[in-house]
Amino acid sequence: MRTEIQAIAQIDRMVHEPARLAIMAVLSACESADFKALQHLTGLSKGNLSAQLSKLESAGYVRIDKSFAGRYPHTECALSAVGREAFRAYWRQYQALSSLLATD
Amino acid sequence: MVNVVDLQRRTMRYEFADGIREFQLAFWLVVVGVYSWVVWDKLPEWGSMVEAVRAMGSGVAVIVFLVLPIAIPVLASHYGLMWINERVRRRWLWRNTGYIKPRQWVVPRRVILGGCALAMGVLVLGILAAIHFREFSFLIRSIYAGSGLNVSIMMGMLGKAMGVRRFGAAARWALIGTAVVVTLPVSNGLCGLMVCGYLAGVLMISGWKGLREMAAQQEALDDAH
Repeated sequence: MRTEIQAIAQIDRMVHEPARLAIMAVLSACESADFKALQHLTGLSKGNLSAQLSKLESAGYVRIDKSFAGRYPHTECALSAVGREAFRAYWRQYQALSSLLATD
Repeated sequence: MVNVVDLQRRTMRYEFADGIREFQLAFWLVVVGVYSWVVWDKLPEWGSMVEAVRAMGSGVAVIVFLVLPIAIPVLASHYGLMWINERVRRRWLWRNTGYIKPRQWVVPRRVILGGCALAMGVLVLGILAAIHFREFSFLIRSIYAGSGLNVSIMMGMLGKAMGVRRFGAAARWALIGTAVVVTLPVSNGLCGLMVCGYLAGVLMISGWKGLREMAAQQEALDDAH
């Protein structure tokens, strides 16, 4: 039981929060995605998505490029190298924890 | 709980859902088919062109007259198609669902390796048959059969991995058609052209289906907005 508690305690909480996990899952499967695609795939509201992206950007996990496509603002997001590694580490931990709990 | 695997799969499916990739592959197959037809069946013309260039007597001539006329159109069409794809998707196909830039290796490595391994297996069988029966055609036909098998396996595995149903049907048709075409009593060059043309046709039909589904989906989203 102690091992499981330790494993849970080591989980990266920046990634573990459901909305941020969804964003990182999408970005881990592509080179980059624009705001609209992230919203479409994760089902998050504009406000929530924007807030979670800001948190991920502050943590250095996501790069955000803001530009204009004609007269419209365009936001392109991508995982940084640190973010990609953090997501991989999280996923490894998560799977290890799942199998640990399944065997009990 | 967030379904990470499903989200990743849906993200990767973006690249294959609209059929553009199939059109791109179909275009390449037509180019390869025409090239193999020219090399095998138009041997006098091809040979005389090679001889003429060789007679000029320098490596530069070979590059200028043989490599550049092939390499430049190939590279231009590759990057041109990528440029067109992005614009078509941003402005029309994905206007409501946003743009996803795919990874460089969008097809999973195990899919590429699986397809190539089987194609190589067919090629080895072709070499053995060519040696045993002393018939060069077996080798050429095995290359065509291997290419068809490669397309079929890749489409099948990709369809399963990404959850794109029409890829399964395309894989089956590619396999059946290739098996029939490689046994036809035609010249090697024509056989290559027919295999590539057939595979390109299968991919075009599959791509067209995807394109129509995507266009309908975007129209439905337009109405919803």
